[in-house]
This record gives sequence, C-alpha cells and structure tokens, in this order.
Amino acid sequence: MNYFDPKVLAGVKNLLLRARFVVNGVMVGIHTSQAKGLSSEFEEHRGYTIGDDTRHIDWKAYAKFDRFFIKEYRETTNLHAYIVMDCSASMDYASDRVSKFDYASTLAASLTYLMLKQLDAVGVITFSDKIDMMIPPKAAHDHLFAILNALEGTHPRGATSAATVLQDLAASLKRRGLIILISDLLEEPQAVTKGLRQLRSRGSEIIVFHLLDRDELQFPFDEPSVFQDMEEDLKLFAHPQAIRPAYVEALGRLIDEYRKTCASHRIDYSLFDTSIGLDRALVRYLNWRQKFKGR
Amino acid sequence: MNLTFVNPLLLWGLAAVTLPILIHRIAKKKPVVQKFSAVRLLLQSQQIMAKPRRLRHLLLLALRILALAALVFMMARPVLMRPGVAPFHRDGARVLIFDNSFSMGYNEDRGRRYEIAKKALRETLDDFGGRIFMIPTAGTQTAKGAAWVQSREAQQYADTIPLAFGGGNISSALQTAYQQLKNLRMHRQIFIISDMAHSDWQDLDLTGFGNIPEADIILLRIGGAGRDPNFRINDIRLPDREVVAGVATRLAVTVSNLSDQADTRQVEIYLGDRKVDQKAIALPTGQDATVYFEFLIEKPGWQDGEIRLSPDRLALDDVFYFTVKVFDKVNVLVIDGDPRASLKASESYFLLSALNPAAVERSPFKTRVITTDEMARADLRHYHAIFLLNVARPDFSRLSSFLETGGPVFFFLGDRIVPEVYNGFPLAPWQIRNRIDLGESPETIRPNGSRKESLNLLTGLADNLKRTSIQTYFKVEGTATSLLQLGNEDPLLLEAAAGESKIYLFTSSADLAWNDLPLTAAYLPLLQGLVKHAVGMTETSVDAGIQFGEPLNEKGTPAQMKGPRGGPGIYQFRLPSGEVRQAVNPPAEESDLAKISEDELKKKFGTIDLKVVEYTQDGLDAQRAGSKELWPALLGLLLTVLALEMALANARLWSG
Repeated sequence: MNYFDPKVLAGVKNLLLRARFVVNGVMVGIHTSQAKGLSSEFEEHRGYTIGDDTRHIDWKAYAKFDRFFIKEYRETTNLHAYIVMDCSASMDYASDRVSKFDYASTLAASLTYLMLKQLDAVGVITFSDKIDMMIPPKAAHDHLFAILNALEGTHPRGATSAATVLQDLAASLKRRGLIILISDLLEEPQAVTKGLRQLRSRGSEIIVFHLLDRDELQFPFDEPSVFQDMEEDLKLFAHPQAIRPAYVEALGRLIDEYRKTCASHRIDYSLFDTSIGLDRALVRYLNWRQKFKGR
Repeated sequence: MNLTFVNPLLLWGLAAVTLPILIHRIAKKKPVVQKFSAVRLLLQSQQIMAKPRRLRHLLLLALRILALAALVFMMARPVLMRPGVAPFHRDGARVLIFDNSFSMGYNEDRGRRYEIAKKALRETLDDFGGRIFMIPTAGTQTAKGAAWVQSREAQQYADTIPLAFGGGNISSALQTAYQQLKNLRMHRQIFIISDMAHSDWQDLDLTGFGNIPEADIILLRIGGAGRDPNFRINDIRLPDREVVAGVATRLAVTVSNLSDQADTRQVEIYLGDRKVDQKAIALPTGQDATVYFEFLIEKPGWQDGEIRLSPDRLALDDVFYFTVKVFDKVNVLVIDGDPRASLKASESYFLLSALNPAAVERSPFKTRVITTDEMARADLRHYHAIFLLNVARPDFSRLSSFLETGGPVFFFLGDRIVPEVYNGFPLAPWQIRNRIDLGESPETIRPNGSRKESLNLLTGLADNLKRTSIQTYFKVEGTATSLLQLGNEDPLLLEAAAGESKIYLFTSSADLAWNDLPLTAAYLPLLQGLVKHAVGMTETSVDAGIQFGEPLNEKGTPAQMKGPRGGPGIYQFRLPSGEVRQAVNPPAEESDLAKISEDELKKKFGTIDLKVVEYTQDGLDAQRAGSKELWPALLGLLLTVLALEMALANARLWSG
C-alpha cells in the first residue's frame, strides 16, 4: 500500500493516522539523527522503567534516594512555524475523491507531526477571506492533538482573500519564524505576492505550497457546460474545446508570476497537483529544514 | 422585370429550410452545470474565444439554410421575364416620328439630347427588314423622307434631319403616321422618339384623326421624366418707348427661371459686336426677374443688339436678339408772336418747358424760339416741326412749303389773332369764327375718342384734362378732326392733313392768358406726344422681334445679319420705304423643359395602348423583351455555398 497516495490516504478517516503514515513513510527512507532540540531545559524526574536510556539516570538522585530516577527535559527550539491553510470554498474542488482541502489538511497534519517530532514549535492558521482560526505555535507533544482536532473540525467555505490574510498576519506577528502557506492561490497574484513580500520583509521564512487540482491544471472537459464559480456568483457557458488553450495559457501566466515573484524574494514556492503523493511536499520541507539548520 | 417559375409547386419545398434550424436546435445539447474554482480565469479566455465560436455556428446555420433554399429555387426553375417594348417586330411597317424640335438641343451629361435621339433612331432601324416611313416633328419633311423606304435608306435620311430652331408638332406627325399606315395590311408600328417636352405634346388631340388604324405605339423617351432646368431671356422693354441719338436710354430685360431651383445668372448686353454692360441677376425658383441696362447711341438709324445669358445646358435660348431704331433729335422751331422781356411772361415759356423739362441733352427735342420778324430769315428746312404761338400774321406761303416737306405745323391762338387772316390759309380746312370769353364759367376739356391713334395718346391724360379750365377760345368750324373738345362740344384741338404733313390748331392760348392747361400734369405728355405723333416717332424704338416659326412682319426675302444660319437672329429687309430690321428669337414655350406625364399621355391616347420606354445609356437592347433562366446561377450559388459550408465545418481554426 502506498501511503503517500492521496486516494489511499483519503480512505483513512483519522487525520493523525494519515499524518503518521505519511511521516513515518518518509522517515523510513531517511537516515535520521533524532533531533533533541538545540537546547534542553530540566523539567521533572520520573521513575526509571526498563527500556529507558541509562544515560538519562540522575546518579545524584540515586545517591540520595537509592532509587533510579530519570531526568526529563523540556526541549526548546529556535523554529516557530505557522501553517497557514486556505479553507475557502474553492479548496473543496475535487476532480477525484481527494479535494484540495483534504490534501491540504493531510499535508498540514503531516507537517505538524513532523515538525513536532523534530521538536519545532508549530501553530496553524486557517483562513478564507479572513483568519478563521489561529492556534499559536508550541513544541509540546500534546499540541499535535489540539491542531489535529482543529483541522478535523474545519470545513471549506467562503471566498478567498489570501492577500488580506497575509497582510494582517504580517502586521500581527511579533516573532520571526516560518510561514507555510497552503492554498490554491486563485486570486490576483499581485495582491498575494504583496502580502508575502510584507511577511518576508519582517524576517519570516516562507514556504508556499500551491495546490491545484488536475482539472484546474489541464481543463480536460469536453461537453459544453455552464461553469459556476465556487466562491463568487459567476457563471459562464462555454465550449471547453474552444476555450481550453486560452485558459491553460492564462493559468500558466498566473503560475509563472507566482514562481518568479517568489524566487525574487527567496520564497520557497512549489506547485502541487493534488493527484500526486504527499511525500514530495514533506521532502521539500525537510530539504528546506536542512538548509535552515545550516544557517 | 418579372420573375416566374416553371415548376412553381416545388416552391413548397422552401419549408425545408426549417430543417437545419430544427437540427441545430436538437443537436444543441443542454449544457451541464459544472462547479469550478477558476471561473474568473475562464472568463478571460471566453472573451477571446467565445465570439468566433458563436459566429461559426450562425454562419453554418445560414449557409445550410441558403443551400436548401438555392436547391428548392433551382428545382422550381425560375425565369426572369423582361417585358421591355415587346415585341420588336423585325418586319411589317414602321413609322418613325423623330422629335427634332428646339428643346432636343439640351445637353445632358452623356451628350446632346439630339445626338442621343439619333442613336436611338439608328438602333430602331437596325435589323429591321420591313418598310419605314420617317417623320421629323419640326420643319418640313423633305421629298426624300416622305416615302416608304428600307432600313438603309432610312439610315441615310436620318443623318440629314437637322435640329430645328422651333417647336415640334407631334399632333401633325402622328396624324401623318396614321394616314400612312391606314391602308397597309401588315403588322404596324409607330415609334416616337422624343424628349416629351410638354410644349410639344400639350396640343395633341386625337379626336380629329378620324378612324385610327390599329398599330403598336412605342414612345422612346430621351432624357427622363423630370423637368430639366433652363434659363431664358423672356422679354425686353424700353420704358421711354423711343431711342433718340445722343440721349441715354434704359432697357429692362426680363429673365425667366424655368427650373425647380433658385440660381444667379449673368446677363450681358451687346450693341453691335460691342459688350456694353453686364449684370448678375438672382432668379427665384420658377419665377421671372428683371434687370435694367442704360446705354447711349450717338447716331440715328438701325442698331442690332443681343442679350446674352451665362450659358446653360440649352445654349440656343441663351442669346436674345433685338433691334433698335434710333431716332434723330426733333428740331422744333417756336415762333413767339408775343415775346416779352421776361421769359416767363412770353407766350412760348410753357411750351419750351414741356418739350425740354430737364436738361436739353436728355430731351428728344431740340428747340429754337424766334419772333415773327425772324421767321422770314429762318431756314425752315432744318426743322422737323414748327409752332406758331399767337402769331398775328404768319407767312403762310413758307409754311405751305414746309408742310410739303413733311413737317407738321402747330397753331396756338391768342389775343393777337385776326380770324380773317388765318382763314386765308389755303391748306386749312377750318374757319375761325368769333372769340368766346366764358368769364366766370369756364369750360373743361374732354378728349374726343373718334380717332384711335389720338385716343391712345390722350387716354392716360383724360382725368387731368377734365380738371382744366378754359376761359377764352376761338370758335372754329370746319372738317378737321377734333382731338380735344370742350364741355360744350366746341373743338379745342384740331388736326388736319395738309400737303405731305399735318397741321394742328389749338383754339386757345399757349400761355396762361386764356386757360390753365400749362399748369396741369397733362400738358407735358400732351405736347410731347403730339409732336412725336406728328413727326412719326410713334413706334417703339426697340423691337424684341418675333418668335421663330412666326411669319415675318415684312414681305420679301430678308438677309440674315446675325445668329445661326436659318435660325434665330437679326434679319434685314430692304424696302422701297427704307431699311427695316427684325429680330427673331427661339420660341419661348420650347425653353420650358417640363415633360408631359405618362398619365396625361394615356388620357390623350384614350384606349390606344401606348408603351413609354426610357432610352438609357445601355441602348435599345436593354429595352427589348426577353427571358432568362436562372437555374445555372442558382446551381453555381448552391455549389459555392456547399463548398463554404464544408470548409467552415472542418476548419481547425474554428474547432479549437
């Protein structure tokens, strides 16, 4: 079973399980040195149980109490990450079983799981034309459940305004960190990139996961149809064969503009077809993380 | 042009044109509603691509309908029928009435109407194998033309028909045509080639033609049904009646605008070959306007003149000829029998004022006053008329000699007159009786209408003369003609023939002593009129002449001095009594180029069938009856439409 296949993952209802499948699958292929965090702060003692690493036995406590105690630390990290996820109605589009929203949720959950596993602080923001929900970043292990619960309770609706949300976020963020934007970005590129530039100018690192359905990329329709917009009250009767070349060309221009603007501002931009595996997205993140550690 | 069908029932097949529409509607699938996230991007694409796509569908539908319609029409076999002047018989008897009247000289954009008519005439003769009789509407028919001939001879005769200077007589020509056709037992045709100018056609009346034989009448109209614009000098008039050498004269020229639009033309006056003056004249639509010229001729005798209009399309009536008979000044000798130191107290004062009311150079009279004693030494041969005012003892023998030379003598009586002396004048047919003094009961004057020429002179003066008071006069008896008489029927002014001339007797005084006539408005025209009448200055100097076609006023063969040969111009007669000149101008009615309407024509022809055909630039062939099958053209159309439909339906450009 390919646990990176979005169709396979769509059969798994539990978001935690999906995240574990994806992350563990990725990790199997990577020679990991488990991150302990860049600094450790003592938190409490607990009794030794078989299997604990003997390196963490507090020998001073043994001398005092003649019992083995294990020292537990609260790992600290220098990476604060926000996963900013688009939950507008257009994210609900699905050419197959997997909608862009499902894909984005699984990606967000997987990234959360992975980052917490690597002892990074991670928070989640969902938005449509405004910020709908915001969970501040934490590195605690139980923070995973809070985020997953929040994601599971979120449904796509409303219009999109990533530009407004990014500009608001740039104004409200007090600490520099990592912003991971997951969206279909079907907006005016100039407004969106303006928000990204503002975040970038405040020192944040940005990764953009641009999700598009295969239908959106290829426009494979044949029958004359009335195309109804999922966010706005727009309808259009058209012969797909007639307008396909012009549509693909317009979409290409949109993607190119995002790609060029992101590159010029050192923003990590990736376009994802929601029909391909999620592992590529995680690998993309890990590569970035590796580079970040090297700084 | 009429469109008919060989198989008209097949036109029901036109209902099949609904098939493509139905097929297009059935084939048009109901669109699926598709939710999509990038409709805004689609909208941008639709703006570029959707219109050609829709246009293609409409074009295809139109082409398919057109193809079906073309197929149905083709199967119904449409035939285009051209009625024309059918049928053009190639044999039989044909009378050609050819309008060569003056109005045919009109210049159209495509050439002179007369030449176009000639072309039409030649075309009517082409391919005709029957007998032809030709009748020009204007001028007399030559012996060569007055016979039935074959086509070739008719062609030769046609070339010799000149454009006339006068109007045409359609009625006479048509009557001749019917007479010629009456006894022929073959197909008969009458062709009339004319501009249908109203002036030539208005008098046509078939009621006097008697039995009219059956014949096709085809009227080839040259120049359209509308009125052609034209301008013409309508008349000239001399307010002063006579022209006297050395005296300035005014000439009124009336120009007619015979068109449906206002215009401004230039009018020029020529005396001899010299242009004297020119003026612009504004001509309101369809109206006349008058312009005045002033000129002076130094020498007495005949003078030729022309009024020229700036050229229009009918050039022949743009020149108007006239003649001027210039009189010499009338030398008048006045013998004052009662001269005084004061001029106003003299007997002659009022007479001289009447003959020279303004400057002497503007008067047709040249006067000299002498006394009775001076009369003996005066050379009377220099004078045209003599006045004797209150002269006690005139030299009747010299006066008799003067009368024999043709000069008139006027006697005005007065207190110095002794009746017995005057009654001794052998040429006088009257007897002067006693002097009558009416005192406080003066008589008024009334003109005597018994003589017409004198009446003309006095007609306008009657009212003024009736207000005149005559206190004293001599009663006169005799056989002389009384021109004026008093209320009591006693004569006041008498006229009598004497020798080669006339003598006049005014029974009262020439001054205010016996009457107040010199103070009335009638005095000046009465005296001037009397003198002009007596010396023969009775006719107007300027003569607008006659219209071409009217008989000349004089007998004999005139010499043409001006104008196109044999046409309008100035003609000179050399008569025993002297030279006479006469102007001849184009007929006025020919200048009005209004056309007779077809309705009016049909009324004139009554039950006789008449076909009116406009002769166009395409010639007579375009007017002949004929038919043409249209199916080959429709087949071509069908194939073209099908090719277009296939190309459009398979074009990759459209399919996207």
